[in-house]
Amino acid sequence: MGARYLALWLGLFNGSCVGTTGGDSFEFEAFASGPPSAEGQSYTFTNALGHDVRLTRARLHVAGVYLNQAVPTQVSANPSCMLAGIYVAEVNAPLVVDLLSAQPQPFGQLGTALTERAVTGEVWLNGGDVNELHDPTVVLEVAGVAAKSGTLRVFRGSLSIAANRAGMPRPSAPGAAPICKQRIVSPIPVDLRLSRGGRLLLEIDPAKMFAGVDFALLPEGPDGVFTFEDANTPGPSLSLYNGLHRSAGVYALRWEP
Amino acid sequence: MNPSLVSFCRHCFVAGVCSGAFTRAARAEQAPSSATVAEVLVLGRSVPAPRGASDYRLEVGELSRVPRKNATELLKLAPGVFLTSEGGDEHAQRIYLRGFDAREGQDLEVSVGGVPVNETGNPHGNGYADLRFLIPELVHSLRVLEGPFDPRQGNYAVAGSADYELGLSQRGLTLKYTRGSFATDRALVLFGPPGASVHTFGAAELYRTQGFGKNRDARRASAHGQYQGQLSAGTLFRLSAAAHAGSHHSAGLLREDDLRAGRMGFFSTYDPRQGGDGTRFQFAVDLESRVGSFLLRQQLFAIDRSLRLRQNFTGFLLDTQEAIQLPHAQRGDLLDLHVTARTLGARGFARTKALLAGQTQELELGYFARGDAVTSQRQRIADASGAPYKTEVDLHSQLANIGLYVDVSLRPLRWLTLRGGLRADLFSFDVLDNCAVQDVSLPAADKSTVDRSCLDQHRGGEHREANQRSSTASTKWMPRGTLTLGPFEHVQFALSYGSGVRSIDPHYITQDVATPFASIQALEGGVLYARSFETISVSARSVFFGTHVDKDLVFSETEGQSVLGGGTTRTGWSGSVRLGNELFDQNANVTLVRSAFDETGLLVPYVPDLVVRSDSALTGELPWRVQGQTLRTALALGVSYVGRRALPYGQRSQTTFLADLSVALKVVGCELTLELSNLLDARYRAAEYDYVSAFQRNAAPSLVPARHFAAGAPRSVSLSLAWNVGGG
Repeated sequence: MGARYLALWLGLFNGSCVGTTGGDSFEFEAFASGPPSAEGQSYTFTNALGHDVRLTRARLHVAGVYLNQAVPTQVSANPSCMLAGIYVAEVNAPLVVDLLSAQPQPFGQLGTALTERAVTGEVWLNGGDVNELHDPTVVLEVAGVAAKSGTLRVFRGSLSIAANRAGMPRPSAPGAAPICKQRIVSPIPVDLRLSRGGRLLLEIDPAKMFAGVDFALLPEGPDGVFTFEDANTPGPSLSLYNGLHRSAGVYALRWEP
Repeated sequence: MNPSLVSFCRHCFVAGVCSGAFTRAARAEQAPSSATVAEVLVLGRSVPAPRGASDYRLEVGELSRVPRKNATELLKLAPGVFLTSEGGDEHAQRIYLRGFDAREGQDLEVSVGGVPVNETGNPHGNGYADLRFLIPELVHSLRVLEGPFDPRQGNYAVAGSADYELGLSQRGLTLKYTRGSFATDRALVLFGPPGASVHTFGAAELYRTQGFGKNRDARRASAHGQYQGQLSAGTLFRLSAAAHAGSHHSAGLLREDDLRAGRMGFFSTYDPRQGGDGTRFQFAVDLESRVGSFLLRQQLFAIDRSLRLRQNFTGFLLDTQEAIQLPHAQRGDLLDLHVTARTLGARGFARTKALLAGQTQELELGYFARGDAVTSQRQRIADASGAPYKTEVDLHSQLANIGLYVDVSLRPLRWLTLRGGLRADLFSFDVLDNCAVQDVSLPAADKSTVDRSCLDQHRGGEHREANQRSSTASTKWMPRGTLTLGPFEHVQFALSYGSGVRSIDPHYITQDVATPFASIQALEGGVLYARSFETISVSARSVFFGTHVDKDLVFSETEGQSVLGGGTTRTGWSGSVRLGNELFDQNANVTLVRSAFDETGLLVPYVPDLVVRSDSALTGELPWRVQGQTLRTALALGVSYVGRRALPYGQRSQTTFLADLSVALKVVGCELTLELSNLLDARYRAAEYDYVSAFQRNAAPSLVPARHFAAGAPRSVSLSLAWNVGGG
């Protein structure tokens, strides 16, 4: 032990008042956009059920974006909406993203990050407190035309996540499925290591939200427009809501150094 | 020469054990008297022999004039001490010592006249040491031993130990009133019979302040009495009692980004319910006597303590949804911690000496025993209602620590001394956890568990009691020793090695599992120089040190306390000098240290790697007279500099440079003192931490660690008038 300390003492003046606890903390710019092929005024695609869809309106309310250094396990069993690992980056400024535009749209303020590897991403889709059941915020607003077998359907929809998404709780475990679980898209697989000077891009592809939507089953409104219900009604409305939550394919997080 | 310096220098080079109990007319022990008396026999208690280069015996003397808020700040007379006070006026200060984050005393054994201050079983920090009950004017001297090098040192002596010796130099009756900035009032009465020992006194203070900024008001009262007398020709006794009650509010910590964005002011607070209350009552009896060739001492002490702390480090973050809870939003993270403790204890030793090879050889056998009955509870308080919504800790603990030691002083040659021995401690824990089950994955189908904190079910709903008892005991053996060479031409060399221990928080106790002590190994070498010239006395030290802790404590803002972490190693150097004469007293020290985790080599966060401190006092007579009496003056200055501390994630804190000044005028028993704290009105951060918090209730809360700080006090001015009768 003595020799070890002697060596350390001799090196003391080289080491004292310098050194680090490891890592770094910094701010960065963050943007969100629609898919690269979005044209600005509309976005056209064919979904998995063969509907040719032309979106003329697609807006998503994003409350924030997070990166975490841990891969969650048993996500569905854990009622907590916070991941157990360390959050290494966040952009906690709301932004209504025009999904028809491929242009990066800046979040209202800088994000903060650590230089730790991130393997899980999260997109929060809420307007108020993420745990508060009542939230009138329209999270997703869509409109467009769907065509299949020569039938055109003009559609629209405004989806919120509030009491309309709450499940039936078990008496002994009333908090097992909290509303925050509905509002957080997680886990989005990523493998990022952020560094000073870079920027974070969130790319959202609405086509993937509509992958399982059968427009033929949409109810027609009195004005002739087929309308997605803002409820967990089985059918195309629930399919779109599930698409909104799809953590793989819909949302992609990219770091540009 | 200044008597305190006499004593200070004497301690530097005391080669044998001071048998002060039977020395005649030790001037430092004798209180000045207005009457001229013949030489009298004045008994002083024995003091342990020095243990190496980092054994600082600090006579406060005129340096007491340097403005200090409390007795804890006297620790800064020793090298490497940095204090922060983010918890409020009546919260124990956080102590950093020579590369250790000793928290609120968890790594520093603190005692007052041998009576332990560390609170075993305190859930805020096992070993929490709050010295606010101590009236600073009563601190006569303190011994700071930076490292576990003395077998007398017990639990919590990881970074070292500090023992305060109380005494009242100003005899007679003294009445002092202070009025200062932020509506601060302090009234103090002191009394000590002229001619009696300085260790016989009585004192009481009443203090109140609105505090700077928001939510920093505080009030306290303390009383302290001590009587030292003689039972027989060779027996000295001491009775002491202390009482304290205090209450305060605390601003807590602020996020740096909220300050930058203008959402919060520098002296603001997020949660005005933060604060605390505490009481302490203690009584101690000491007996020291010589029986034949033996010197014996026995001390008994009893302490009754209560503490309540309300702290909110994280805002609205930790109240995550659990399955057995009704759906809820974040209700608030305010911690409400309450602890009551009753402590009974004793310590004693017997020492003998013999002449061998023409030199005095000594042997001491001693013990320390302490029992604590502690009740502690920690709850979370809802922001909206102020009511507790969750119980996290509810413990009844019966804790015991019994230690014994052997200490020898071998002196084969006049210039060679080996002091040291072995200490062994037993720590026993009997902990009843009244909230042993806080979650169950498959509860019974009914609603019996909903929103309850302390459950009485196993998985599947099978019944069990909500409480569970755990008990265990462990022993620890700790060798300690110091080799000293010299003095040679006023220079002495010392090499010390020691092992120390910190017992664990009762919260971690598991049935029959050996207590995972945190163990420390320390090694240091130093050079001491002390010399009295005709006009000045000089003492200086240079110490290189290294320490290793196998399980260090790391602050967790979510727990509101420190939690066990990995091993850490510290290496460093400290230098100190004290010089003075009748007119001035100067104490200065510098400490450089590197504290790093063993596994990664990365720095231990929050620990300062550069600490500089200077305390100066200048006294003298002015050329004017008032009513025929000499007008005396005193000027005192304290200066601190702390380098940029390492913070998590590669960050560094700001530097801290503070100066405090006092000016006093004294005539005919009256003294007028003007004190300026933070003379340069530096806007500094008294503490800085990096962690996750979410004080703003945004849709997307902050989840990434961010910088937080506690605002340091701005410049404050106070004026004191003291009036003494019969003190000479």
